[in-house]
Amino acid sequence: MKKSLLLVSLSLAVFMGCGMKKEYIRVTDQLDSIEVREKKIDRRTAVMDSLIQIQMGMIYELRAELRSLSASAGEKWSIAEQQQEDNKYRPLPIGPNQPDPKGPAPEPKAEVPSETNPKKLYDASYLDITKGNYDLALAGFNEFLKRFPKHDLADNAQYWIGEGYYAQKKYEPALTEFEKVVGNYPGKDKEPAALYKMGLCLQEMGDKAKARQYWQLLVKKYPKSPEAALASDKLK
Amino acid sequence: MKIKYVLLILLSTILCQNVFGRADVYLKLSTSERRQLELGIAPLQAQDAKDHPEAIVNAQKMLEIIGDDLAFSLYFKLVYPPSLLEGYGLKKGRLDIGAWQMLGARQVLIPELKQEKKKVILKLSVFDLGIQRQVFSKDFEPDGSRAAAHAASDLIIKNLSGEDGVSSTKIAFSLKSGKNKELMLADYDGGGLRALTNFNSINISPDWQPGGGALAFVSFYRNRTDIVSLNLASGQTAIISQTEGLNTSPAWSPDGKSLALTLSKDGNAEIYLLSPETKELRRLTNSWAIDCSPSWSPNGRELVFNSDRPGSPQLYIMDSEGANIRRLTYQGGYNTSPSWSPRGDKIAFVSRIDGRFQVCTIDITGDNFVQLTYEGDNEDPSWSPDGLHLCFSSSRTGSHQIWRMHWDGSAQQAITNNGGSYMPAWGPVQ
Repeated sequence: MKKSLLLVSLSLAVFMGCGMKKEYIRVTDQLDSIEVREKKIDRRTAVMDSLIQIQMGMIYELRAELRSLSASAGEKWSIAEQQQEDNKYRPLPIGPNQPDPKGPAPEPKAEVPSETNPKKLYDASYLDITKGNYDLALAGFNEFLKRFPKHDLADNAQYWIGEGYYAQKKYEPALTEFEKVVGNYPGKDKEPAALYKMGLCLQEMGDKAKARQYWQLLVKKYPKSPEAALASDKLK
Repeated sequence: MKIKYVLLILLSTILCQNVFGRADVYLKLSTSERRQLELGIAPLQAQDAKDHPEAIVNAQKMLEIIGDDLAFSLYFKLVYPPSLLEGYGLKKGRLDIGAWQMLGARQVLIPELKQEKKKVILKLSVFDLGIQRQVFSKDFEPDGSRAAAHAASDLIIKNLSGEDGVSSTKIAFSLKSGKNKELMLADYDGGGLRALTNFNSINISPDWQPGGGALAFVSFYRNRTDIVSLNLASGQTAIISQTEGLNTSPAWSPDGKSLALTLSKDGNAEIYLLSPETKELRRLTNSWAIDCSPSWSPNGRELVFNSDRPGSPQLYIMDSEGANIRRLTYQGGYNTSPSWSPRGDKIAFVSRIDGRFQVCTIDITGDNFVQLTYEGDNEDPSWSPDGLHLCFSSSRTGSHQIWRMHWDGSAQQAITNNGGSYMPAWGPVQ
């Protein structure tokens, strides 16, 4: 930068035709001295590089010495421990939705702290449904109903328990759970969907006559619901 | 001697701080936060291949692609030796463990060109500095091909993280050419671009069949809308849906057994489920409104879709029987093009914000509406199979290009340079 500035000023000086020779000599002297300084800096950088290398070598030696000292003081630096430490840094849990680094629990059990946020428990259980972790989802929703039986989302949780079984093609327990939506939460917003699903469960179980009864009830009780339109198609 | 002990005390203080400081940071990390492995990338050792300059050039080319893949994967934080110090990280041709530890690396990728009999091979190995042993080693042909480089990246990702990488995945999209739009296929980074169709017609909305062997898309080649399947290996096409009226927005179910699609055969646009094998067609939605653009949940039990039943386009979720419909989006007056994350938790979509279309995400619970793009119009988001990245089309540089980014909106980059690129669909891991 300095160089180019000097060159510009030099050209100006020449162009304007004033001063001239003395000024020219002064500026070329300055350029020479800059070049000399640059060379010195280069040399110094090279020296510093090798110094860094040497110092790093010293640091490694010291670190090795420190390790042996620590070991003698009772601290263990075993490879196994180091590996365990390293495993902590493996990038398994990543992104918006993380798998448990320890893997899925052998016996699904919703571990709920004493001060549980009902919405968080409900959302986590629903996420397990969408990911196909049905056992975890069922455990979570059952825990939700146990802890918050009067919550606004209780009928939804009961519906998702039915859905958790239905998705696994376990139609008998699914029917039982959907029945609870109708029986325990009558008039709530999941009732039409539960009635429709009860019909589907019965259809899958081979009881088409009873399935039709539920769909007829749905069309009669909730004629404007989307499920009533689906049930009407089934009744044709 | 005294100086040595002073240095030792000083150093032990630093190391203790380092160790305990690191543990403290680790404890603060929750599972939802990103953790990356610090991976050093050693310079290519090519003493054995001095007589094969072409192999050296090819290997360098491959290493550049591998570096880009590993950095984009989000599993690694790459550590390169400082350019000032040539030969850094190697001591007498061997890995200088201390030097890499000083740079903060925990593992180091060591690329070597080796002469084996009459053949030159590119050996890639990874050395773990913690346990001080090699944790990965594989020989590759240094042919300079992008496919070989991407395959190497995915092998490294799988071995070091246990996860499937997306480096070898492809993106299909629709490219405007005069009055027509033809389907194109590119690597996930835009390389290896090739045409899939040459129908001299409009071909849009590609959707990958699970497994990646075929694409379903909407074609106007018969001067009407048909849903067509294209076998990528044989190039053969077959019409999947040709009902009266519109046949649009195909979406394969995760098990590949059924196709959700939008048909207007009964008057207005509704979502149906088609079994291509049995030809069984089942109607899922039934309203006076336009229902379209279905996208599956990863368990194949639910669909997010677009409906203007509240008076403006909004996102809804229903199960695959068409029951239990509920509204997902309430923010903004125009939300379309939903795409359900393979991780299950988020839905990417397009929202009109201040008169422009922007890619956003929302949790499946309806919480956390997040805007990811800000410049130009950004449309048609599609998730990578690992749910960590998105591709989309953007007009921010003047014409529509295909872009990619991470799930949180970071690292946005264009992967095409021909204008008129729309509707990308990120293919599966194969």
